[in-house]
This record gives sequence, C-alpha cells and structure tokens, in this order.
Amino acid sequence: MTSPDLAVEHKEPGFIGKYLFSLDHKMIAKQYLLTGLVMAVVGGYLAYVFRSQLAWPNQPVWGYGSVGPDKYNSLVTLHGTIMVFWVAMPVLLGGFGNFLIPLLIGADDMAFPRLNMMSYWVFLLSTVVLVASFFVPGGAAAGGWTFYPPLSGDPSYTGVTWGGHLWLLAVALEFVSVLMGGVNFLTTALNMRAKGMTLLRMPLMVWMQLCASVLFMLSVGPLVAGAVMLLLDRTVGTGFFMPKAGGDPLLYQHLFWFFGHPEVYVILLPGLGVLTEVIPAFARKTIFGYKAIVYSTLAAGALSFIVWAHHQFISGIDPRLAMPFSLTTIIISVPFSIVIFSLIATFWGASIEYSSAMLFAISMLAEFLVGGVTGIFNGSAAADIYLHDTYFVVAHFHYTLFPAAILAMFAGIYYWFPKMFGRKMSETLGKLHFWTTIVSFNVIFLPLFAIGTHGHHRRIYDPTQFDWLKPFQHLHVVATIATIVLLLAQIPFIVNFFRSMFAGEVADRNPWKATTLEWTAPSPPGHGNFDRPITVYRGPYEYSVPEATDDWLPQDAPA
Amino acid sequence: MSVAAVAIPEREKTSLPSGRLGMWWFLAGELVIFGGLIACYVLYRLKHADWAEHAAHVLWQAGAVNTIVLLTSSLTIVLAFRSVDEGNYKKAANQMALTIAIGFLFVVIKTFEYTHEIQAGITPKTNLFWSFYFLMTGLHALHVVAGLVAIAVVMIGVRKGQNLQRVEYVGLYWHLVDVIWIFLFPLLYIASG
Amino acid sequence: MVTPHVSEEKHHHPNYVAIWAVLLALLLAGIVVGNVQSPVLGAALVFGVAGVKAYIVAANYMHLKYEPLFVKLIVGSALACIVLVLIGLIPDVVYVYGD
Repeated sequence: MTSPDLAVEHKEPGFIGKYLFSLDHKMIAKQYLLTGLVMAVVGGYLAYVFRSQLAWPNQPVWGYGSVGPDKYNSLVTLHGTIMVFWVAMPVLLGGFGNFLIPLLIGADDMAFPRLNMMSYWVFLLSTVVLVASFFVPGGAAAGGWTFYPPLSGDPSYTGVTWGGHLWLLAVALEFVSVLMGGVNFLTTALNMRAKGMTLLRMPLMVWMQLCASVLFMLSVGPLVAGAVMLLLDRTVGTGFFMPKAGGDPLLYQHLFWFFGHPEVYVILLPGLGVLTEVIPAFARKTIFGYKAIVYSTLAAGALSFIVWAHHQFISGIDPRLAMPFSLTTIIISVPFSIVIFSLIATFWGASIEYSSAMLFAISMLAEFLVGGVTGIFNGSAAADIYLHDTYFVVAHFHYTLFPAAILAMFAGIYYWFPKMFGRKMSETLGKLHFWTTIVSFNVIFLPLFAIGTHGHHRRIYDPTQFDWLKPFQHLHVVATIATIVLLLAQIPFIVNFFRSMFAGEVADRNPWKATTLEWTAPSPPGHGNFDRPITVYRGPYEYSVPEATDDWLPQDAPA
Repeated sequence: MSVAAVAIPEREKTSLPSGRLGMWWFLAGELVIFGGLIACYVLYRLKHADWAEHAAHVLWQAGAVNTIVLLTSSLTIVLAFRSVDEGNYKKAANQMALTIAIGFLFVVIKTFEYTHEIQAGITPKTNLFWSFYFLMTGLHALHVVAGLVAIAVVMIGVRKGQNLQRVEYVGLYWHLVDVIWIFLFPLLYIASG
Repeated sequence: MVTPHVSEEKHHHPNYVAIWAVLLALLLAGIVVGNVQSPVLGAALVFGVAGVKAYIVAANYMHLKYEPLFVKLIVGSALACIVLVLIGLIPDVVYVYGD
C-alpha cells in the first residue's frame, strides 16, 4: 500500500536522512549507481578469474588461488547473474531512471518517494544475500546464470545447496525491487509532468525507461512463479521441473526466456535512451525521427514477447515452433534498425564534439551493431543449431550487453556527472579510459567469435583437454590478457569519478548547452529539483535553431 | 547546497490519481505472477489425465463455502468504500472490521482443509497435483493474510478520518485476491476432467 | 504535490448487494455445470462461469468499467501475456511432438 505522501519535505534532513534513508530520487539514484558500480568490480573480478583458468588451465590464479572445476561453474554463473541483475539493471534503471525521469519531465520528485526508498533497500538486501552466497558452505550457485533444472532442481546435482537457495532468493528480491521501481517510473512519467510536457514532448530517455518498466512488469510474472516452484523443488523436494516426478524442465526454460528476452530490452532500451540524449547534445542537431523512434520502441517492445523460444532451438522444443520464432526474431530487428538508423542519421551534417560522453555513445552504436548483426545468425534456427552454446553466442551477447549496459552507462555518467555532483569529470582521463576500454573489449571478444565458429562449447572448464581445441588456445590467452587490460582500464575512470566529485572543474547549470529540462535546474539540483516554475513550450531536441540567438532552445523557452 | 523548492503550478497528467494508477500497475504485476502459476498448472493438468483421481480427494464443499466467504468479504469492503464517499467514516471502519472478520474465517476454513489433508497423509510431495494445490492455495492464503493486515492498518486511519483514499486502494487489492480465488476454485476443486 | 482526496472525485456506486447475489447464483451455477459429464463441455462451462464472475467483480467492485482506457490496457496486456504463455507452451508441454 503506498500513500501519495508529499514528495517535498521542507525540513533539511540530517546525515542519515540525507545519505541513507533518503526520499530524494537523486540520492536514491546515486545509491543505486554506486551499488551497481561496486558490483561491476565484483563481476569483473570473477571474469578475470575464470578467464585466467581458460588461458592458463590449472595454474593458480593471482589474487584467487586454484580454481578447480566446481568453482569454475560458480564463477561463470555469478558473473552472468551479477552483470545482468546487479550491474546493468541498477545502473540503467535504478540509477539513470531514478535520477532522470523526474528531472527530464520537470517534476519535483517521484510520485511515491517512500516506495522509491524501499525499492533501493530491497535491492541492497538482495545484493547482500547474493554476496553472502559466496561464503556459505558449498559456495555460490553453479547452475549457470539461467539456472536450468534439472541441474538446478536438486542440490546434489551441482553439490551447491545453500548457494543455490540464496541465488533464487536474491534474484526474487531483485525482481521485487525493480517492480517497485517500475510502479514509480510509470506513475511519475504519466502523472507528474510539468505543464506543457505532453507525451510527445518527453525526452526519449523517459520513453525508453517507461517502455522498459512495462516490459519488465509484464514478462517477469511467470518467472517469479517458476522461481518459487524451483525453490520448492530444491528445498521441499517437489517435482515441478523434475522429470522423475512428472515435471517438465522445458517449462522452466520457457518461463525463463519469456522473461529473459524482454529483459534484454529492459537493459537495452535505457542504454539507447542515454544515446538519444547524448548524441543530439554533442551533434548539435535535433534527433532524427523522434516519433519513428517512439513508435519503433513500442513495436519492438510488443514483439519482444513473441521471440523467446529462439533461445531454445536445441532444447528439444517442438520443431514446428522453430520457424515462427525464427521469423519473429528476424522481424524484431526491423524496429531496432529504425531506432539505430535514426540515431546514425542524427550525425548527418552535424558539427560533432568528441567529448568522452559522445565517444562512448558512438562506440555503443558501433559495437551494438556487431552484436545485432551476429544476432541474425543466432536468430535463424538452422544456423543456431550449430552455433548454440558456443563461444560465438558468448561473443554475440557480450557485443549487445556490453555496449548497452557498460558503454551506455559510461556515456551517461560522463554526460550527467555535472548534474549529479556539480562538477565536471576530467576529459583527458575520460579519453584515456575510452580508448583503453574500447580496444581491449574488442580484443577480448573478436577472437571468441572465431573459436566459437570452430565449435568451442562455452562451458568447457579446461580447453586443453580436447585435441581439436588446442589450435585455438592462443586466442584464449589473447582474450584473457585483454580482459586484464580492460579491468585495468577502469582505474582511470575510478580515479576520475572520485577525484572529480571533490576537485573537478565546477560546472554551471548547463555545461553542455543541452535543451532538456534537467539542465534548467541548478547543478546539483536541491530538494524539489527546480528553483523556478517550469512550463514547457517545445520538443526536447531543439538544436541548431536558426532563430535562436544561441543556436539552441531549452524546452522551457517561451515560444 | 540547498535550493528552496518551488511549487509546480500545474501538471500534465492522466485522468487517474497517482495512487490508483500505481495500484493498478501493482495489481497487474500480481496478476501475471498468479496467471503464470495458473498457466503452468493448466498445462500440466492437460498433460496428466491421471490427476483427476487425486483431485477427487479435495474437499470441494469447503472450497465452495470459502468462495461464498470471500465474495461476501468483497461486498463488505466495497460497501466501506461507498460509506467513505458518503462521509460516514465510522460506518466504513465497521465495514472494514467486518471484512477482516470474514477474511479471517476464510483462513480458518483453509487451515481446517490443510489439517484434514495432512492427517490423511497428503503433503506437497505426494504428487504434482498436490504440489500445485498447496503452492497455489498457500500463495493465495499468504495474499489473504497480507490483505487482512493492510485492511487493519487502513482501518485504524479511517477511524481517525485519515488517508481515506486508501480504502479504495486496499479494496482493489482485496478484490484481486477474490478474483484469483474465483479461478482457483474451479481449477482445483471443480473441474474433474 | 497533488494529494488526491476522495472528495475530489465522483465515484460510481452500482448496487453492490444485488451484484453480490448474482455472484452467489453464478457460484451455484458453476458447481452444477461441474457435474456435466462431457469433459470438454464441462470445463468450458465451469471456466466460462468463472470468467463471468471475475468480470463482474472487476467491472463493478473494482470499478474497471468506469476507469479510463489506459487502465483497461494495463489489465488487458497482463491477461494477454498469460494467454500467450498458456497457448505458446501447449505444443511443448502438453502435446509433445512425436509422442
């Protein structure tokens, strides 16, 4: 039960009220952002450990020790889980969504500030439960990030008892937290808009967040039910997904991917949303095809509910289903192509400023195209039967999720950092961060396409045990060295982030001369966000306007 | 750095108050969770024709009485909402207290059923039908209990004339619990095929 | 901040007691049609009655029939998702190809 309490508390909160139990959407956003960044370090560390095992099998890993086959499965399971549910979602939805939705629509806060605070605390609880699962007897969950039964349905199959229970519990709590956030996102975007902020004047980031919340809510239900059933299979000994009791493991796969595919867009859409704000601001052009992007996003969202079985082409699904799901999968690339081409068309004839934020935005587009194009191979059943569960798939989804979650996240952080903390980040360190990140990322995953097409299965613990994989071992070494470089490349970012928070160049309200409403508020905005009444008179991307004295018009500039 | 917040003069919004919009959104989320569970049950039920003999052992009379109980509690909570609109807060609070009593009766009957089944040696591990039976009714019963707590909290406010809009919201939630039972009853107790 | 007060809005109140009586009658009807011997027809009737009951509760007690289109869309898309899962999984879970 949520009460529509007053968002603006007119007394200055104390330390605990300001930093811990804050009701302010901006502070909650920063809490999400920092938690997500910390979890990104954990997830990156796990990747370093298991990639070291792949490159130099059975050698003790510096900073971890000997991996061993049992721990290897835990490492990859938790790497996937953390990166999707504890990095991408808290940063893109919890962080950017919370920070930006009220600011972009000219609201003083979220519709339900108390629910917003609770959603963060449930999220933090889920984080604690997940991290705790590393330290329980038997270690963390080892059933793969998709947690398919029957492997996950009986603790004796993986030898992990408590780790698996805690994994399910943590994921369930995380879902609850995102659902609570979604209630806020939807209600705020629909009911809290400033005067004149019609739906088709909302910045695209708001549309993307809104669409992501809708997709999440509609798709996650069956999986929540499935997770409860799986937890009962593990703990009580029921057989919902266990063939020996008449259960069907394939049902869980369907429930997982009915959620899992929309979930890809839950992450991708806010990532694209970052681009729709950053690119017009640094290209100094209005976005190409605003309405086309809105409608394509909605169409892609609807289509995302009928593509899920393309993750299961080799799971023993009905062969008569393979063709329709191949078809819908290839159709869904049409609306996304419209969005991507609109973003590319925005560059046409633009005077581009290659700031750190813009570099990350451009690289997100470029890398995501690689992910999208390789997705066509996976989407057609005939090719997927060969490529499924190989490193080709691993490389493919890293080329979609790394740009969507990580590159877009960096673009967003460099872009909105002045609004969040009132100071700019260093451009020099930013560019160092960008080039090292982008080069090492490609050096990791391009070789993985190659070894995947040679049939290297993705869940092999020690590739040197197989003669036909030996010729590709050097590519594993290359990828692992690049992984270490990629992790080291984040040091300039971390230094830049924390140093700029206290010693960066002080930013004024609108350091990028951008048009959307958040730049009308002070940097950083105080409680209640805006220090003057906001009325919106125009669309969100009025750059290079001939009649304007300064080439651009903010959304609240009177007509 | 603190900037005095300004009042925002007017908003663009839907014709729906934020509380009700958020509530419907929450209910839709609940609907997909229960709907997913029900879908799984229906799929398995269609596959396993032999579940009929297990289903023959449920106490359909208890289920039928509980349906009447829950439908009646839906009536009393919606009457409380009307009383709030009529400005009669005391009557509304009494109708909510009645709802809590009737809802509690539901839980008592459900407990009686569980006791009966467990004494007959039936547990969630007996068969997949019973796994679903205990999971679906158990999850529903948890929602009933949560609803009772929520109604009690709102009722305390209503007695003081506070947060009256919450009567409608908690009522919406209670009706959803009712609607879910409307489907659980035939699924688990009636359809023998 | 806008705090919605009950008094701001005019609510519709249909005859709740009469609706309750209809619901009880439908419950009885549901139990009676449950005894139909044909499994297909019996199930169709039982769930048809349940659907009507749920609709009556949603439309009247939950005031769905007075809500704007947007709310109906939220509920409708949630229902559509459930139906999609149900129908989409029949070939894989119920009538398995080749069995």
